[in-house]
Order: sequence, then structure tokens, then C-alpha cells
Amino acid sequence: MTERDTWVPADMAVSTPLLLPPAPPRDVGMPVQTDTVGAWPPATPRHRRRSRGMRWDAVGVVLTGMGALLLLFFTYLYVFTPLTHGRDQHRLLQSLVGNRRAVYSLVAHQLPAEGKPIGILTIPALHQREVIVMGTSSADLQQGPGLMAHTVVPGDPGNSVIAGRRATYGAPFASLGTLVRGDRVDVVDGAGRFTFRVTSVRQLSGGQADAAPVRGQAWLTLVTSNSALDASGHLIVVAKAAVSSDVTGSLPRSRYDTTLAGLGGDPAAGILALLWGVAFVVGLGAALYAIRRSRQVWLPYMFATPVLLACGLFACESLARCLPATL
Amino acid sequence: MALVVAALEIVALPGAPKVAYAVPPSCPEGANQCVVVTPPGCTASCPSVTVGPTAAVADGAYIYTQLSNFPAGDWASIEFCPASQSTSADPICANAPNGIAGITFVSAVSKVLPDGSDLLSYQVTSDPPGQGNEAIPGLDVDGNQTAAPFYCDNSPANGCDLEITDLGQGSGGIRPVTFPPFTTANTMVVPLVFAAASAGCPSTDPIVDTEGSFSIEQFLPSAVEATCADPSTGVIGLNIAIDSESVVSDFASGVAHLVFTDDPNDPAEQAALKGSQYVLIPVAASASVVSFLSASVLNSESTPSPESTYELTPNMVAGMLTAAYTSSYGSDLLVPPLTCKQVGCGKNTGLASSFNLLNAVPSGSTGPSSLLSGFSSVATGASDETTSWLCSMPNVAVPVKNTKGKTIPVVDQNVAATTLTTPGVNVNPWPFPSCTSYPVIPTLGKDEGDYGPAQTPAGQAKNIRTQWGGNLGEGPVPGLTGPNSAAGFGAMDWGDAAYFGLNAASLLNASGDFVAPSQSSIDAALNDATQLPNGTLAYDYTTTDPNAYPTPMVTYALLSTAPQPHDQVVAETDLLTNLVNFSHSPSGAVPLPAGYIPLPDNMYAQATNEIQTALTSIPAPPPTPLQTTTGSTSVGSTGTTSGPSAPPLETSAPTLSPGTLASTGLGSSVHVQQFGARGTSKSGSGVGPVVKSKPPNPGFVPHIISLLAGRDRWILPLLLGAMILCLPSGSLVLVVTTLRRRWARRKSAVTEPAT
Repeated sequence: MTERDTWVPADMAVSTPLLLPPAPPRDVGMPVQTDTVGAWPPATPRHRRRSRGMRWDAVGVVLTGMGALLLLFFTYLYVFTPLTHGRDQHRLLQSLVGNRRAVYSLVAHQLPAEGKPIGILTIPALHQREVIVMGTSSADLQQGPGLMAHTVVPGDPGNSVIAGRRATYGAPFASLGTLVRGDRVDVVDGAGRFTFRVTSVRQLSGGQADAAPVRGQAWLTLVTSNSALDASGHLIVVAKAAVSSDVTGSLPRSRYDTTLAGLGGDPAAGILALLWGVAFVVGLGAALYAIRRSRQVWLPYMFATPVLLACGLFACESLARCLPATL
Repeated sequence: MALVVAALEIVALPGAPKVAYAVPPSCPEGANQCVVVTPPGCTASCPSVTVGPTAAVADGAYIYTQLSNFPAGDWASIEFCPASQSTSADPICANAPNGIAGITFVSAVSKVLPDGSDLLSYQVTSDPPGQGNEAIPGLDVDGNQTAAPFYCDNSPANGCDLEITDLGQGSGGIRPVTFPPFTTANTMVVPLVFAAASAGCPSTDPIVDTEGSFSIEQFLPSAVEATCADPSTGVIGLNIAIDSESVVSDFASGVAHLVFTDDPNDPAEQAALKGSQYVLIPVAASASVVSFLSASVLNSESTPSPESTYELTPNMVAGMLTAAYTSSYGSDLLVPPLTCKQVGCGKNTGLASSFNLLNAVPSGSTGPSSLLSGFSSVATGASDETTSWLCSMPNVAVPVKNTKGKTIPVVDQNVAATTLTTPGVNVNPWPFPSCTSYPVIPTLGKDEGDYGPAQTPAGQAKNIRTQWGGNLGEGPVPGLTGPNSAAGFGAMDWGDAAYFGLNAASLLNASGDFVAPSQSSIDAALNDATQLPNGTLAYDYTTTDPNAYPTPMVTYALLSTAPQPHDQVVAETDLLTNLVNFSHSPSGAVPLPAGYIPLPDNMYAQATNEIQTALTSIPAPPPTPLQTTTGSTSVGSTGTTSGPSAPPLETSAPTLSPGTLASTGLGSSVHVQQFGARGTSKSGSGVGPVVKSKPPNPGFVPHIISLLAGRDRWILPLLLGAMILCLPSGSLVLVVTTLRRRWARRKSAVTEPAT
């Protein structure tokens, strides 16, 4: 910087003595240059304060944005998922009662594939009727209560374990804890209608072994999370068949192999959620940029909205699958 | 040599004959059409095959084939083949002994009876490509191991047919190991047209959840499919088939407002309905049948052959029901009052059973060596009617042919009332104290090969077919070695019997005639019935009408006339109107399912009248405040099922209180989704109420299932915490920075003029 270059900070400009000529109008912080081109002067405290202010703005925007996105996720989880659950239940019921051969196949020892309907669970005390699907993975339980692999089909001698969600996706087992001893639980499947009576309702902490019923009799165990927020254990309802099943009604156990440890969430879904989340953020950024640059603002809105909605929905759905399956 | 599809002739066939092994003129499906196929160019003594159904074939349906005029002693086979193989001498046809999608495919082979007839049935599948369907494995019939899978639908590329072939005498009377070439001289090809794939019902159709007894389970889906497409009156009826008493019990408790029952006059159902407001509307007409599969033994070759007809008296049914009669030999002897000299049983009086004498077998053969009791163990109208019939019928004479071929009327000295109430061995107490109607046939607690009750008609059919099909279990039919010399019997509704490929026995009526179910015989029986004050019919089991089938059945809709939302009433009455119209005069691509007859005119008039009255008379409920699901506050503040927000959309939840409409994404829905609170609700903690239970029963054994809590339990709390942190803090930061900026500008604006 030469002698002719004069850097007059804005705050000092106001305190310039009267003897100095009045400073020409200029942008605050800009150097006064006459005939030379030089490097920008180092930042003054005011400039630093300005930068800090912008950084805090960014922090505020990011925090608020994250909070808003999380709010949207919770809205999806508790407002939207009951709708999808209802749609799935309707579809499952229609396929169950419409495809007679699939139902009768149960009698012929043909179990449906994972995720397919296998029967209907009715709990009169809770005014509840749900279609049961095969499997208890996080994705399976999004449709409704699921029959745990390697347990018998309801009505068969042994313990049939049906898990369901407590707080999301329609919360079919939200009120399970209100059942009392003697309450009736009915299951209808291709092999018949089986009535169970509740014998106990209790909570199990994580890692606690679940006591299984006496062999040779038909039992039903309903499982859900012990809490609507923190699935630290399980709430289970054990019911015994009111009448013994047919002697010839023996059905085989589930054949497929599914890891269920703790009825946990789907870890692979986390990666998907991350990818969709990134796609959403990138899409949002691109949309904002396009809105700023575009003369016709409606165009970016028109293209970006469905894309962002789709990315957001997929991200939410994937994230929901990461949660414990009984939540 | 090229094969040509034989000329098809659709015939209207009369009722079933009364004598076994005669050339059967009847269509095995009863009301449905059959085709009769003969080889082209044959002018005299032509072999023929009666096949049905061949049109609108349901996926998984059994196709009956009755052979006539085949060379006695020949072997016959049925193959399920792609139409493209119809000209092949060694066609590649369905072969899946382990089954796909619950159906086993093998060559169905059987030996033709001495009179040239035979009966086989074959289960087929509509298996279009795509939709995740597995192709049907195919193998050449001659066993050369040329394999090729195929699909089946109504398209020209994937058409399928049945090929019925005369395999000749075989070697030494044993089933041929290799098949002869299939030619026009020995093979008849019957094309099959499957029921059109349903386009589904419009999503704008309202949905009505129903429960029904088993008598409606084959009827209702077809009726809905045929009628739901109408945009103004189409309704989707989603039915769950269960036992009749549970249906009515659920109706009475408010679980469902519209149900179907085949036994409305069952005392238990009447008791359950006491205090309820309802109307009974006839919907479908059918019959209670004693379904069966049976095979006799040709002693000279020990080869069983299926029997197409069977005649049963009340005492015979009573004996099978109680497992007192477990073999055709020695059960329900008609000697005395007959003598062996009259019926030719020599010194072996065991042969003079009603099973053998009424169901004649060729000379040198014996009837089925074992009889399975395959009745229902839950409440059904079929059980009620069958036991009513066998306990109400007078002990009339039955026609028995003597050795000279002359018919002798014989009064059986064994009567149903005695057979039913006589305690069996090792069953104490005996569950049949008197001869009366039993809507629920008590089980005997036996676990024997000849006793197989089941809770569903599917289960009954499985047990009967296993008894009859032998080593292949529920295999399609004779299988590789032919059927066992065995029979299984069980009472069920005719619709289910037809669907599962079971025959319907001819039952003795009070005029002394054995009558099979058919439209004419059921109509005759309904005409003889008496109408009760509740609008239902009381069947006359003692009518002397010679044409009447003893056990007709009408399924009634139970419609609640208690206050309901008008939209719900409209949907229910629209559904009933559709069902009744379809039942009375089916039209279009969806035929009346096998085992049902058109609803008689008088019943149709009664039904439409009652529906119209219900539509205009059922009041709307008084307005009620919106109920909150307070019980669900146990899920804590994050629960979605609480509060006045949109209730969860579920399709089948029952209600106890008059409900309100819930609009759904499917358009108008008549489902009422109000879950009343039950028990004490807890707030805030998110932990539901826990009933303190006794310590685990010492009989419990610690189990493998160890329910672990994974790390993913922290995801939701962390996300919630992050949201609680980010939203206010981010907003706070933005507010603070904005305020600071404004303050800085104001400050600069104040000091600027001073310079």
C-alpha cells in the first residue's frame, strides 16, 4: 500500500477531526484509492463483527432448518404413518379374503411369504381387528402386527408370537397394556378360528429371557414396546387357547430365516435415509439457487416441489425403518 | 399324428343317477355347465368324457372328468398341458409333485371300471406370467426328462387344456410305466377358459366389512366381483368366514352391522340375538351336503377306483359321524331282515352292509375298506341340518337289489337315533345324549386314522382328500399309485364341496328316494318348507315329496336395524341389493359359483322388499360428541391415537357406539373408527398400565427368545432431543442476530448525522 492509499474505517470516519477534508462518499470499509491498485486492507473489527454476524445467521438458519426437518419427520411419523397403515391393512384384508387359495394353502402346510397376510387378529376388549403378516422386521410391522419367525402359527401347539407397534404406523398395540386376565383374543387364519384368553400381562427388560409356555398347548404371545419413546424393553401379553386345536390341524413352523434380535430396526435403512437426506438437501439447495436466479419463479417451484417431496418422504420412511420395530 | 380338439357339445344334464358305475349323465358340478367330448370321426360306441367346469374356471378349482364307454380295464390319465402341446405325441405337461403355490401337479391315472366309466378330478391353476407368479414345471409325459415350464391364462400364447388319454391295458394289469403316444385315437383335449382376471373394484367404492358363515364364502367374492364396477351402486364387501355362532355373537355385540348366517334358527344364535334389532334377508340358496371322496377295491387286481356317487341313509351318516362305522364291511348290516341268500353274501354277513348293498360294486369288488369321519367341529348350518335330518327322518324302507336284480324294499333295523346315542368305546362321557340337532357336532376326543374333524371346510376337505389320496397326502387325486380303498365323508355346504373337488352324496328322503342336490331338488325342498315369523324357512325333513333334496340351505343376511349413519345404511343395502340380484339372476362374465342355485323368485321378492324397507326405516343415530381415544394417552405426548386429530384409518375396526363417518383416501368409507378408552389411561410417562400378574407358572420353561433392546432404541429419543434443541435455539440465534443487526444500524444512523 502506498502513501496515497488511505484506509479510513467507517467508525473512524465519524471521528475525523474537522481539519480534514470531508471524506468522499464511499462504501463502509472500502479503501480510498486514487491511482493505484492494491490488495485489500486487513479486516477491521467492524468487518470481523459483520462476518461473525453472518456466521451466526448461518448457524441460526442451519439449526432452525434442522429443527424444522425433524419436526417434519415427527409429523410424518405420527400423522402420516397411521394413514399408510390403514391403507396397508385394507390392501392386506382385500388380498386375504379375495384370494381363497392363498388362505386354504395354510391348511396344506403352505405358509405365505414374508410380508404377506396370514390371518386376522381380533381383540374385542380393545375394539381392534388387524391383519397379521408374516415376519416381524421393521418393514413388516409397518403394515400391521407380524408373526415372528420360528414360532408356530396361531392355533398350533406351541407358542405363537405376534409383535406389533406401539406408537407409530397406526399403533395397533398401543393399548395392549390395558388388557386384563381373561380378556379374549381371537385369531382367524386358514386353519380355523382360535380363541385365546389372556393369562398375564407383563414387562420384560432388555435381555431378559421370555418364559415360554408349556409345550403341547397352543399359546399366543403379543409383543410390543414397553414405551412409546424409548424401547428399552417389551410389553408382552400371554394368552392361552380356550379350546385345543384340531388334532389334525398341526401346521409347520415358519421356514424362512430372519434375524430378529430384539425386534430392532433395520440398520440398512439408515444408509438409505442418509442418501435420501443428502438428496433432499442438495435438491433444496438447488431449488433455492434456481429460485434466486430464475426470472420465472414458478418454474423451479414446479419442478422442485415433487422432487423434494419424494426425497423427503423416502428419507422419512427409511429413517422410520431404523427405529425399533415395535415402537 | 396331429391331434385335433374333439367337437365340443355343451349339454344340459339331468340329476345324478341312483346307481353307481352307470354311465353318468349328470354334470358333476351340479348347477354348472359341462362339456361332453368324443373323439372326432367316431360314430358308434364312442368313448366320451364329461368335463366341467371348462369356462370361467376359478384359480385352484377342481375340474371333474367323468369317463364313459372306455374299454374296461384300460388305464386313463389326465394331464394339464399348455395348449401349444395339444398336437404333440409326447406333450410336456404339468409336473410338480412337491407342488407350487399349494397345488400338486402329477399325471392323474386311474383304472377304468368294468362298466367303462371312471371319475377323476384335477386341480388346475390360472398362472399368468408376471405378477411374481412362478411358472408351472412341465415334463414330457413319457418320462424322457424333457422339461419346460409354462404359464396359463386366456391369452393365445398361454392357453392351457386338459388332455384325457386312454393308456391301454398296461402290462399285467399294472399301471403303464411309459405312456403310449398321444393321438386322436386315444386322447381328447379339452380347452380351459379361466375366469377373467378381476380388474378390481374402483377405489371409490365404499367398503363394507362383513362376517359370514362358511356357506357364503364361495358366493360373496364372486358376487362382489360381478357387481362392484358400477360407479353408483358398487360396493366392496370384505368377508371373513367363520363359524355361524361366532358370526351372530359378533353381530349381537356390535362388532359388525351386517353378517351372514346359514343357521339363524340355531337356539344359541337366537339367544345371542335377543334384544338386538335386525332383519333377516335371504341372499343365497344352496344345500347342506354330505361331501365325500370314495374308492372301491377291485379284488382281482387290488386296484382302487374312485366312486362317483354314493347313497346314504340317516343311520349310515349317524354311524360315520360317531365313528361307529369305520369300514364298509360290517357296518349297518341289513341282514337281518334280509338274508344272505337274497343278497348273495354267502356266509359272510359282513358284506351285507348298507354301504355295500346300496352302493353296488362290481362283482368281485368290495367297498371302501375304511371310512373317515370328516365332519366340522364348529357351529355350521350344515352340521345342524344334517343332524336334524338324521334325527327327524322316519325309518323308511330303502331299495336293495337282490341277486336276481329285483328291487326289495328293506327297513333297516338300525336306526339313527340309536346309533347316535350309543356310547362308543373309550369315550366317556358320550357327547350325544339324545338324537337332536347339533349345530356344533361334539368331537369325540379321538386321535385315530378314521376320525378327522376340522374347524373349516378347507380342513375337512384336506382330511377327506388325505384319506382318499393316500401317500401323496392332499395330492390331487389318484396320484401315482391310485387312491386308497378308502372313503371320507363330511357335512358342509355344497359351494365349499364343489370348490374343493368333493362329491355330494345322495341322501334318503322321507319318500324313500335317494336324491342328489340339484337346482330342481333344492327348489322342490324349498317349496316344501314353512316360513317362520322371522322370515326364515323351517325345512321339512319329513316331506314325502320324492323329488325333494332333504337338506336345502338358505344363507341369510343379518342386517342391523339399530340407528346407523345413513351413508352406512346405503352402502349396506346397496351391497345386499347387488348380492341378491346376482343370486337371483347372474349375468355377465362372472357365473354363479358351483354349488349354488338361483335364488327362487319368492325369496328374491322377499329380499328386495326387506332391503327397501331397511333403507328407508333405519334411523340415523343422535349426534354424539367426538370421542377421544383417551386410553391411548398411554403412549405419552407423542401418541397419535389420542386427541381430536384424524382417527387412524383402519378398515375393519368394530364399534360399540353409533359411529361417524371417517373420510378416507379411498373415497367415502362407511367404517367407523372410534376406539373407546378402556381401563385407566396414564399420561406423560409413555408407559402403559401394567397389570400385575402372578409369578410365572412353574410349568413355564425359560425360552430361547431373548428380547434384546438394541442401540436403535436411542434413535427416537435423540431425534426428539435434537428437534427440541434445534428449533428454539436456532430461532433464538436468528432473533438475536437480527436484533443485533438492527441495533447496530440504529446506532449508526444516530451517530452519522453528527459527522
